Amino acid sequence: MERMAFLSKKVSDCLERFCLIGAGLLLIVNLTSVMLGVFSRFFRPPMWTMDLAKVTLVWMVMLASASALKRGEHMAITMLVDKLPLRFRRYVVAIRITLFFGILILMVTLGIAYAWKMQLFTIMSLGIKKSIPLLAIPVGMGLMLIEYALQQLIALGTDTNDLVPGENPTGEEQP
Amino acid sequence: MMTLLFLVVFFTTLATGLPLFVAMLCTALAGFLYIGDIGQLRLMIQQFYGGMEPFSLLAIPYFILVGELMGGAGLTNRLLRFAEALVGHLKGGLGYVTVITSIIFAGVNGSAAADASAVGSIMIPAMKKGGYPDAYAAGLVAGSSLVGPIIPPSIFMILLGAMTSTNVAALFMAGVVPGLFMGLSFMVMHRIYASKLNLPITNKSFSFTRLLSSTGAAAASLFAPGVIIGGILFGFMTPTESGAVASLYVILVGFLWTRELTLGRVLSALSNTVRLTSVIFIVIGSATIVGWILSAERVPQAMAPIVMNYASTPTQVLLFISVIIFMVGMFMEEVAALVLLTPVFSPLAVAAGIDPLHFGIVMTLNITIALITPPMGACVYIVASVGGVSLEKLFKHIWPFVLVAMTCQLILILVPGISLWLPRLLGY
Repeated sequence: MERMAFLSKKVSDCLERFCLIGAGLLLIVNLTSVMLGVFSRFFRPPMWTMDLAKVTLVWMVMLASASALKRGEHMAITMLVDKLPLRFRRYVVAIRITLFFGILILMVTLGIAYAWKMQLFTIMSLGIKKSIPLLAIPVGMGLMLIEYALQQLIALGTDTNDLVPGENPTGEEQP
Repeated sequence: MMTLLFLVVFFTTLATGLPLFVAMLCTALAGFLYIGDIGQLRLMIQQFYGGMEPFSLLAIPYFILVGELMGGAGLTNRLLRFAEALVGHLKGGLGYVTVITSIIFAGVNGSAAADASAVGSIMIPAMKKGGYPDAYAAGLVAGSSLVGPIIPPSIFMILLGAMTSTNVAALFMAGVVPGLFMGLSFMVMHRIYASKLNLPITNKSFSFTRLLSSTGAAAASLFAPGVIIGGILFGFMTPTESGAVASLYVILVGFLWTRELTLGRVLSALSNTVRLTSVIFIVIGSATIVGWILSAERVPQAMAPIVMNYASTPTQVLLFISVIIFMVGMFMEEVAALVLLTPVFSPLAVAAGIDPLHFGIVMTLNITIALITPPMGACVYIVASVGGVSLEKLFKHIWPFVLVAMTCQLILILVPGISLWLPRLLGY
């Protein structure tokens, strides 16, 4: 179990690095695109800057979401659960994990289906299919699912005398 | 019935410790199931994407990036030295320095959280060292950070403008006087506390030479609000683009003028920016779905006549809205509260004949006050963390600052001219 936790942590770290580098690069592209729109206004402004900025923004947001989840930056209220006796807390945490997986799996499924449907449409200024920006949602939700699953494995492999899976085992990785 | 279902599902799922956006997605799913049209579930994705897509929202990551870069570029330190040279000779000078720095900082970045963490990390230790009670020092930083979202640029106003189709530039202008008024109110409050607590003087006397040299050093920071506001006013750029230009400006100043910005600091700022942006946008996307269901079921329209029975004049309606937001804001994250409540209250304000700009500023101020109200005030957590002050102690001592902010809010509601004078003068 400890080996599993160790491997999960490694994978989680790699995933975070990948997400942050990707999102950071997209922010740079996004910023450059808007700046280009501002400064080229006085000459011959390209048509695609605004659409490129929108597409990169959505992908940036969805890529960075897994990293924010790993660092416990998505706003959550845990103080009520923390005050429950351990026995009840286990049930609540089980419900929490189920709901988290359930709703994110739903979003991934719906996201793929919607992106598939929208491939018939094109973003004219960029010459790309409308499904490309839309795919950011299932990808981002999927990355969060993987990250959340890894956190559960890490929690299971950590000394959990006083903890339950789904709770913060390290103090830094609580969704 | 729908509203009740939403409240029950939302607060139950939130109480299990689920992230806010997941609790909202669960609430939206419950809404679709209640309507009974599973085929409409694809709208969850459509609305989620649509909520994040407006071009004006692009300014949010830019102004977060500006806030992140200002410290790394050494601009915050220079601003503090300038403020100290300006008011350090007064009794309790460090307190005035805190408020003035927050006001100038607010003119460059659009977030109270960035303001609180940047100013707090330097000023709280300095005030503690200067003999200020730690809870008062932290409370003053948290309180004065509230001018951040009121003085332009403002992330809340960008969001509000996108949701209510109000001109963001006009909203920005409408925030200038209320923001300065609020800053001034905190200074008046500090004047009273400085005498009561017998707070020390930082600089023995006022020195014009010191002021001149610190102004030179802080010129880049002092010039930045001019670049942003001037660019918007003279039509060179939109508020969204001004965020991008401000980011580039801070990067250039940090590398070429102060020479304190390093590649490592830029990378760290980028990392923090993308994560914080992600957290905000995912909440916006999720709240948009809930807001859409509420609108589709005509909940705001159903609420309007009920509210109008009790509150018929614009002032009464704004007071009613303020009380509701104050209560909601105590328990809900601010962006979520703004995204959820604006579509509900906006038709109400229109029905009551309230000017959209005035409504926008009152909404922004309401949501901003929620940043320091226990138990969920984000700025309180930030200053407690950066200032090393106990959260319980801070929660007890934050109320005078909440009271000052609420008094400003009340005056703003009673005197719409405070927010409307400047935009009208500029022809908006």
